[in-house]
Amino acid sequence: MSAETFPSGIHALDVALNGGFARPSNLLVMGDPWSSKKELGMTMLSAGLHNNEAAIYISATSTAEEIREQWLTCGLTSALEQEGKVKFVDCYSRMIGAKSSDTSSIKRVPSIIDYTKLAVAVNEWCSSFYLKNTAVRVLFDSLSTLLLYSSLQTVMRFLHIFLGQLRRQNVLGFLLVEEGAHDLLTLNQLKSFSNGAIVLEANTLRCEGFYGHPSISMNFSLPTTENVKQPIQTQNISLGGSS
Amino acid sequence: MIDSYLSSEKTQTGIRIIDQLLEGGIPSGSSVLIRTNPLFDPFPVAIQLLLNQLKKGDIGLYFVSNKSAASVIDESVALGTSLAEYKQQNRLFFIDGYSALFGLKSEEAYAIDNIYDPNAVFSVITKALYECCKKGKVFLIYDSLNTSIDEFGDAVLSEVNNWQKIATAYNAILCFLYTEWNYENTISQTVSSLYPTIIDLMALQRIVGNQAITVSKKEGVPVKEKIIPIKKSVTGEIKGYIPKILVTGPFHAGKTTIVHTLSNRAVSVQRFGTTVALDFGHVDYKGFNLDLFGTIGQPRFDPILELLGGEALGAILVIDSTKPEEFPRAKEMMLKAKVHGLPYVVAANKQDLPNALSVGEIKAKMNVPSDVEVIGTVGSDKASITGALDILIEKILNGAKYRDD
Repeated sequence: MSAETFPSGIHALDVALNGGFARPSNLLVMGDPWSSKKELGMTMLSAGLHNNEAAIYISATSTAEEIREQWLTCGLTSALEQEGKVKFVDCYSRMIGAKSSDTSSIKRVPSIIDYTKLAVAVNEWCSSFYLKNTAVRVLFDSLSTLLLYSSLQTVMRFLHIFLGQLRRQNVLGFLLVEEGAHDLLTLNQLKSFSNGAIVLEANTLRCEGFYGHPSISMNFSLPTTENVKQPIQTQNISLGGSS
Repeated sequence: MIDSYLSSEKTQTGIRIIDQLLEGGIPSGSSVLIRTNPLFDPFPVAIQLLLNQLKKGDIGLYFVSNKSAASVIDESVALGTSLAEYKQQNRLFFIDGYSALFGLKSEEAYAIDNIYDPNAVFSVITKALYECCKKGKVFLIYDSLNTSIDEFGDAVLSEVNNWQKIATAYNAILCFLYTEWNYENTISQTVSSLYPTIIDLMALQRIVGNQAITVSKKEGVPVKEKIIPIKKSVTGEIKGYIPKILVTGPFHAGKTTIVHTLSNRAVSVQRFGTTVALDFGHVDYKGFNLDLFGTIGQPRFDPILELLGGEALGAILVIDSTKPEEFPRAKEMMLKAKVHGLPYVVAANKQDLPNALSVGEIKAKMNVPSDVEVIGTVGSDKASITGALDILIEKILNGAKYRDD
């Protein structure tokens, strides 16, 4: 039996995964700082938008407005925004004292450690799309910020409920993690809550833990600002490689 | 200690459904736990509770540990309230357990410099509580108990006992916000045992109206938890919510008049003075929001009766007291709308007409079950209609689900 798959936005990866990601799934996107995790995440959200799915961006390190500007260079277009399927949960603006208010596409959470507000805000967006039979992708940017302010146990307690709720609503979730910022125990705990990991190292993208697939490794490069309309470039796929 | 709540006076919260569930309000000089599941934000309710006490002249004290004091003020404005003016009048004070997390200097009345040291945190809260209690009757919001448990474990729970003693001595009310985030059983059980009053606010997956309230502990004693659907307004005010009551009955029995008499706002789809689609009315009554759906009486519209009756929680069966020949038709409509078996009352309407049958005669002629009340009504007389509504609400609530059912 083959489950329905959803495009990642990276053609070669979709081929290797027999069509793309399964849902519901919560996937870690790991890598060192400046390894283009955020850009990859935005690309995967954009692929969902082009597939008539909705996209929710949870931001803990930038305002929703800043994220939107950056996303416009990674696949978001004004036309896609106007369809009303692009939403933000901004956990940063209020933390820095900005007086911005909520809009039809932005919910502001007072701080990244107000877990109840965060869960309620994401759930409200997800529920509204779920009721419309619209599939949703969620990008959490990033779990590392949660771990900066709360203990591992507190974050795990939150994720246990939060990710379960996303799964129940058939969400495809991408959870960004600064790989070098955490010890092995923390990374393993995070992996135990996920359905797989996409690891970025230099110019290599590696997939680990995807059910039914060997580890996949490929070279990749993100589009530059001059060729933003092109998809992410990949080559030299190897299956069953490093893991 | 719990015995002290039994004799204490109660403080009305100003949120009617909570006051009803607590039979008058929160006992003065005690603490209350507002417990939510992870999909219910307790903040708007907490702000509403605080604001209502500030309006009465109490002193407000707000402990923040997961958001800034400024964001509490900002969010209160977004909810259509204004906590800022009470802060300016020195009637609302913040205990800032948040700014230090980011190394920021706090400008609040009470600031905690070392948020990782439980003694430092607890001593500032205790000092603030004492000082404010000397100014007047205090209402404290502790937002949130989770952050303190996450940081200090059950040490904070021991401290709650000390703060409760201060509350008892000074007639203060302490309101702790707590979300059930899969804590170990020992923590959850200790939290449950600590508080004499526990109000649960829940987001539910499968119930008409997806939010609900229950009181699981009252005056120190666990109670069987009746789950009441609620609706939360944008200002955070919560009300009991009965999303659908069917008003049905034969042609010209007075259904439309009754819907309009009861409702704060109502619309009817009519042609030449006769309802040809439905009557809809919204009722704001005794802390409850109710939506009334009135059916058409003419038999040719019977096919849509089932549609209108779907998901109703109760029914008002309206009959014309002067037309006993139509009583069988009334019962047939209940069956066709598939609401027979739900809580219902019979409104024996047009009691002001000279040839109206008495309630007793109608009850006998209709052979209604003994537990179904027949109320004499006059469509335009609100008092007579609300009498029927009171009974129906009570019946619906008595049939509400209990947590263990």
